[in-house]
Amino acid sequence: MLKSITAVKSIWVALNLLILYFTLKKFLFKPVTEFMDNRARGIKESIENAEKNRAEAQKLKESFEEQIKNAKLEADKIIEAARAKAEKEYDSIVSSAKQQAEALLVKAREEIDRERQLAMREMKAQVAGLALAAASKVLEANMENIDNRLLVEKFIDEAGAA
Amino acid sequence: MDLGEYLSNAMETREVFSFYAFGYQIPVYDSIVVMWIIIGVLIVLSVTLTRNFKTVPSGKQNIVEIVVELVNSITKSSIGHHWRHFAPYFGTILLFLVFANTISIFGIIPSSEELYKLTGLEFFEHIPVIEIKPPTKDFGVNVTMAVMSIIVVLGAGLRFKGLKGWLGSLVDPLPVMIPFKILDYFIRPLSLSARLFGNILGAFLIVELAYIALPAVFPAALNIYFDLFDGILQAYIFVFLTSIYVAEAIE
Repeated sequence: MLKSITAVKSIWVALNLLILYFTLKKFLFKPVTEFMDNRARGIKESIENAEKNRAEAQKLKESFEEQIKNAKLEADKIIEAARAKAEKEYDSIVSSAKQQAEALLVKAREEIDRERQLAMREMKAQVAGLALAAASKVLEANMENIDNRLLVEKFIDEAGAA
Repeated sequence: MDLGEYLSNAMETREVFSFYAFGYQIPVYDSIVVMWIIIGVLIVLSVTLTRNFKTVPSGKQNIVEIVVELVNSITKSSIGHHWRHFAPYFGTILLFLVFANTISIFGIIPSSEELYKLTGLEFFEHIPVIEIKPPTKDFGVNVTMAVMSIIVVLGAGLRFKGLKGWLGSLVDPLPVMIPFKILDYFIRPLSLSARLFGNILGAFLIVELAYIALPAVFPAALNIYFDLFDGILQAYIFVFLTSIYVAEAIE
């Protein structure tokens, strides 16, 4: 057993193992460990990034929800205000229209009255003339003086009043 | 060939060939050749399997990541903060030992001697006989690995504590401890290597005996237990103990 230990063999073994060590270190352990470390770091970073993004998204979502809520309230207020304004406008338009209509009605009534009085007066004059002409024809007398005419007009006025 | 001769033959480490360099005749043992095979496979795998890594792993990348993650987590759990400095070394030892301890699974592959007998081709006659046996069955290999691990432990202590800190750790808690602390540096590699050697050699011998006694189904079950389970377990124990020693040295 002990005679199997020789210096040459030990040198061979040491040389072989050193060659194996440096080769495996260069081609296997170092690059693979570095590769796995880098990958682990990459995964960690991406998980952290994802977490950060998620938190950011959550914050954004909350702020958007807040904004939407505010916008809704604002819109409600605007609509309410517009409705109140429209109501007021409506009321004022309707009332002014009523007033105008009433004013028109009153004016029209006055016009009608005036027209009627005018017509009545013209009619009276013509009736008086016709009556005088008829009376003069009947009496064949010249009744075309002022006294008769006043008499006839008085008579017609009385008849109109009656 | 009687049983004892067969077993001692199976235990023996053989010189496969030798070459002349630096003014010396340098022998190459069969355990070294098997080591070369394992190291070659590991290097080819580590270069080819780590290409085109993607963020989402699939297929072979999963296996590579599981292996590296396992080594890293073993190192992390025993050493803690400074694990990055030691993970490649522990990973190397673990992968090598796992392959080395379990390689007798591939003992089915015939040696060149058997191939020559089987096929009669001249070609195989010129290839040195290499039987695929675990290199960790060779005590010399284990001792070297254990000594290397203790050198790492010493180096780690000196690097992370400084010379003063390391000398301080020798007299902690009492100066009386100095001889025992120094003995530690001899006992630990001895226990590491003897444990590994004993387990692998024992498993190897039991399986060899089983092949002699009952060459059919029975040895397969033993093979699975001793070569796969015990082999991987011993590899893990070797690395785990080394990492404990390192952790103790740097804390």
